[in-house]
Amino acid sequence: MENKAILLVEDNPDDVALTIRAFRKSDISNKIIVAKDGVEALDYLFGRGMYAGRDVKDMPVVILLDLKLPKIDGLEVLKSIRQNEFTRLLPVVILTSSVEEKDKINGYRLGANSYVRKPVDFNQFSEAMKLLGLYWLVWNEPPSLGK
Amino acid sequence: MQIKTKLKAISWIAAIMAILVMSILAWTSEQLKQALAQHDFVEEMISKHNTRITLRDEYLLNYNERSKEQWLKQTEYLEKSVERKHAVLVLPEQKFILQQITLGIDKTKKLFARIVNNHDEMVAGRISIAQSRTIENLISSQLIIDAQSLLTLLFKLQRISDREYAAKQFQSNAAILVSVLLLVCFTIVSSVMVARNIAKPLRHLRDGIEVISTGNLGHKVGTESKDEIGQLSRDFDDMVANLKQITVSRDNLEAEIMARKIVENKLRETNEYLDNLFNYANAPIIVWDTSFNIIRFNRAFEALTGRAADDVIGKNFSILFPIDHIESSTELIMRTLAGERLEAVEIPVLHVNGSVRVVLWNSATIFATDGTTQVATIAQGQDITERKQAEEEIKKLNAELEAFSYSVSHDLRAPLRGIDGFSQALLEDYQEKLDDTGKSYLDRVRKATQHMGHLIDDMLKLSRVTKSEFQDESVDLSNMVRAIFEKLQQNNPDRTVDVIIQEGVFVNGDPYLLQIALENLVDNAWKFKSREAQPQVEFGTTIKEGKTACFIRDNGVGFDMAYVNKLFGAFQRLHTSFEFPGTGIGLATVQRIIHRHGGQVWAEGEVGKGATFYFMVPS
Repeated sequence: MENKAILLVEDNPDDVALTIRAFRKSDISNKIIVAKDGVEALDYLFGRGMYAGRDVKDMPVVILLDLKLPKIDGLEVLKSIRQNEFTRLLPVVILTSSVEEKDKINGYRLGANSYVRKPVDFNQFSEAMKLLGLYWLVWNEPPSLGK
Repeated sequence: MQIKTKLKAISWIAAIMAILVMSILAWTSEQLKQALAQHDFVEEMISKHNTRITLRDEYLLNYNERSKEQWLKQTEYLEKSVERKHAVLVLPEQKFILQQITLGIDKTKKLFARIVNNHDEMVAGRISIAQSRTIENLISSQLIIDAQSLLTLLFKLQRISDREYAAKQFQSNAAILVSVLLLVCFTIVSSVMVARNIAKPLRHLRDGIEVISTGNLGHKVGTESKDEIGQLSRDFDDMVANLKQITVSRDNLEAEIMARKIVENKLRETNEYLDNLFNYANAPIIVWDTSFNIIRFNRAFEALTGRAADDVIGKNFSILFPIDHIESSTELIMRTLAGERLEAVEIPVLHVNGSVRVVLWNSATIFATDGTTQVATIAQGQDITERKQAEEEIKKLNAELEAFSYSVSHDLRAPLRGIDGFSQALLEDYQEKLDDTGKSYLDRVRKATQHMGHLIDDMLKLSRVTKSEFQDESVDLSNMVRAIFEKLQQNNPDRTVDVIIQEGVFVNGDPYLLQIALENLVDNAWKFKSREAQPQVEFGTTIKEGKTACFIRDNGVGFDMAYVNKLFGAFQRLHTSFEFPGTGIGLATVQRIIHRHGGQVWAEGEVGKGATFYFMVPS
């Protein structure tokens, strides 16, 4: 498996640290790109702003998307991803604290591939991240993008 | 016999009696007259006889020719009278005396003739004076005797006549007396008859009339009598019967009038009542005719619009609406003409001060007595402006609450996860530097954060129970309970619990909410196991107060009925978290769900013997 990047869209630095820690403990060594808000995430994906000039063909293997984000929220980001020709097939996993039915429905409706709720218990959280990583990085076969 | 006939008979009898009495009186009078005539005649004869005696004496004294002539004349007259009266005096006694008188007169006549002859002889000288005197003495004595006896006879006749007269007078008196008695008797008889035939029935009739006049129209005065009064009494009965009929009709009429008056009064009262109801009702009420002109406008409507009824009556109702709503409102109301009813239709109304009130309308069409012709429409409004505002407020509050719970679910959990995660990181990465106490502290930190995570989750669930949409469908509780148990068994594979589930328990309700309720109940039954007995949980139905109630029963630790009131309160716990984990929100959630279904939930339990939770959901 190529060492493809994981795009983690998360504004909470604690969650970022814990997510990375969980991945590392699960021996997932892929590069983890962190976007602290929706704008940053889209900039990365479309090679804009601080990521201007980035090779946009180098897409993350999976996007872990929080819903509650500054500037542009997670669902808006998802919408933009699905509307863009180059990004619309990217696997997007919503990783959030919210269990609102409304969020689940809207997430799936906008084309999320998965909806995972972050447990409070760190052991459960680690377990979830481990399974998530294994699934999307090892077992899932993504389509060839932008080729 | 008729009274007329009786009166006629009485008249006839009276006439006959009058004639009879008159005849008797006439006859007695005639008799009396005859007796008087006889009496007078006898007296006349006595008088004549006395005259004759005087004339005789005169002649005997003077021997004058005039006396002699007078005497003879008187005697002749007397004779003729006696002869004439001979036929008049009828009694044999009288006839006998009359014959003797005739004979006496004849004798005196002869004696007087001998005296005259004696005197003539003497005058002629054929005899001496002495001789003549002697003869004359003899004859005159005889004559005096005869005259005396004749007088006696006359007196005798007079006595008879007197007696006869007295008899006749008595007879006459008797006749008068008899007549008077007869008349008196007749008068009494006819009075009695009149009394019996007229006065008595008349009194009977009058008494009857008096009774009838007191109002007893059923009283009868009729008699069997065939006379006019009988007829009259029967006619009177007929008249009273007619009167009674008339009275009955009149009474009926009066009763009808009375009934109508009562109805009229009732109607007036009802009208007054309706008028007051209309005028003083809190709800604005308006009536418009088929041309949409306002015909009634109550006080509440005056208050709603700031317009006086007198100013709007007769005007088109469009004046009541805000300018930009006239068309749409008019169109809505026009539909009432097609027979459509306004039912909770929102139409804004303009107040004269320019403010707009939101009014909820209900209308009814008023038909003429034929039931088809529309006469007017009555509409009742409900000013919901405040309610609308309140609803807006609630909507806003709900939105805020939603935002709050969203941020609770999202933002409160994130720091907890941080605390838990970094505690774990400490335990893992720095275990050499931490002694056992430090490690146990960190464990406590983690347990506390996790508990808080559960609390947040349960609170959100509780808040969602009231917030979420309510669906009403038939829910298979048996299946639901089984699925919950299976999931619990999977999560706790080393726990053995005997589960008994009654099949086919259905209720009507919201499946999502019922799922949450059952999850909590089953979870409790599963959780609160006692140390002694083999855990057993039963789900089924039973009859409570005639209604079907569902129950979930366990043989776990149970609870003290003294605290049964605390069971369903939020954050109320009967056990410590150390004994049994939990947030104390589960049963509050269950109660809220069952109440939202309009049902009831309650519990029975005993410490150490288990608990039974009942719930009832109306179908």
